[in-house]
Amino acid sequence: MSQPYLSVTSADVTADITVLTVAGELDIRTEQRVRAEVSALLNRGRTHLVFDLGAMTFCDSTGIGMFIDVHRTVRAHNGRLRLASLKPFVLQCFRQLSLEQILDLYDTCDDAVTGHGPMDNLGTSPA
Amino acid sequence: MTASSHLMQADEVAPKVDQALSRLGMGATMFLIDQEQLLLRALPVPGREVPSPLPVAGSLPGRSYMLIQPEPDPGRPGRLWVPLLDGTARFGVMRFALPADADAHDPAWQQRCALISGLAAHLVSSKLTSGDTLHRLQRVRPMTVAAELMWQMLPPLTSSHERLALTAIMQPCYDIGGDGYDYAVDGDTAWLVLLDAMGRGLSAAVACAVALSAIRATRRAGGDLLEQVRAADENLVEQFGPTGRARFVTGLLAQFDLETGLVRYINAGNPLPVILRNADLLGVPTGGARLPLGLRADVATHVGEQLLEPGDRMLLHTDGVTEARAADGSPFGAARLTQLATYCEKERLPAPETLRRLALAVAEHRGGPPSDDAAMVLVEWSPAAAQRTLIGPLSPGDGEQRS
Repeated sequence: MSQPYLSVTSADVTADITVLTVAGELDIRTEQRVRAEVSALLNRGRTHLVFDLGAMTFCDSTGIGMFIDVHRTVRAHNGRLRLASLKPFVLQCFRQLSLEQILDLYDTCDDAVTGHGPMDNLGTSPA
Repeated sequence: MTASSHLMQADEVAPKVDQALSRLGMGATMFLIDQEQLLLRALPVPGREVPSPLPVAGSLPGRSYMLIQPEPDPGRPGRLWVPLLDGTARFGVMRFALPADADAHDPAWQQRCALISGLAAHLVSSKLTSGDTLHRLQRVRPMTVAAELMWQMLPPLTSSHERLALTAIMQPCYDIGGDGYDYAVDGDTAWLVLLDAMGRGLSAAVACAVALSAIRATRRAGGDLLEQVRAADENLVEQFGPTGRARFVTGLLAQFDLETGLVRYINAGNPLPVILRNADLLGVPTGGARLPLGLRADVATHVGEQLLEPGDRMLLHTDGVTEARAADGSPFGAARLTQLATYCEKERLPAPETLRRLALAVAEHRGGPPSDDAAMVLVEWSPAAAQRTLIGPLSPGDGEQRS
């Protein structure tokens, strides 16, 4: 099986916030590379992370588990995780899992960086 | 046969059955279905030639297996194929050689053979765990460790009762790891569980095993849906929390009242269940949504409610079904699943055969090896549907009724 394409880059956009741009397929074969990038940032004291997922074409359950781990880790360091620009397919998957209850999702990367306009109405209707 | 069964070994089932029948001037060969339900393989009897395995597709014994009905062999008078059914669990088929004066089309003989095959299937079922012989025959290749763990936890694929047909299916049979199901029917309540642990392989199977056991133990101790979900949460967090890696299990838990038709359910991240009425899609219940099991949120869990009518069918599935991808990347899709399920309903197929065909369609769509487990649970709230999971019809020339 060929290795799926995934790229992860990061840039410090404010004094506190670092944006990680993930492109390609995030799954059991590629998630380790994102974890490694996050570790490197934490080692530099960067704990306010925004993921720009506009070019992430696929995310399996292992990828979702990774975001939950990152969320817990940065929280333990008094930081914050925000996810931005999820593709419709990925967003639908996050909604199915009710993940908006624990992860902060934003329409655009700019919104996530400024913290304005979180997508707060993603929840499935209550029973 | 029954008297000698107490000390019987697994590999002695077929010889003993054969012995008992030859005293009646009959012969019988038992064929067990393989795990994928594609191949029927004969149980060996010492001193007899072992017949070749038979494909289910396109064969007379396969037809007997699929439609759960006796099939007289038109080319060989006195030869009758009868399903090997323990309760409503399909173990394979039995090939009878009737006495010279008997007619394989005679309903009385078919009934006699169905009685014998029922007894034989019961022996197979009860001796399955006492040796490896029967397990080996059910496998065309070795199980992975994850699949071995999962299968021994799961109840039989089919368990119908007077008021409902209840059946499940899982793929890939020899390599499952992550998906699992459970059920229990007591009094007026049918409990249903379908789980899908994140990831694949042994670690996913262990997570699924933890969730399933927590739910089952809580249910057997009298716990309700919310208590079952809480037990799954707590045990998953306890087992996997300290590793620093989230391990979650999506799941659908339902409590189905067989008198009123009320289904109460919690959907912890599974795809929406499908409800079919008169072969039409009635809808997908969207309530009871919460985070996957093992991820605790501060938000309270709500229980969803859906009222079924007699005859309704409810199909639960994991995302490996609808998201199974063909070589060109196209998913199997929920629409196709519903369309096929309604087709099977119009054909009045037995519930386990409906799921077998749905699973086959998913595998065919995918082509290559799966990247995820695919599991389904189907419930038909109908006494007629329950009857269709038993051997029938017993009448000459009636074989076309369910084709």
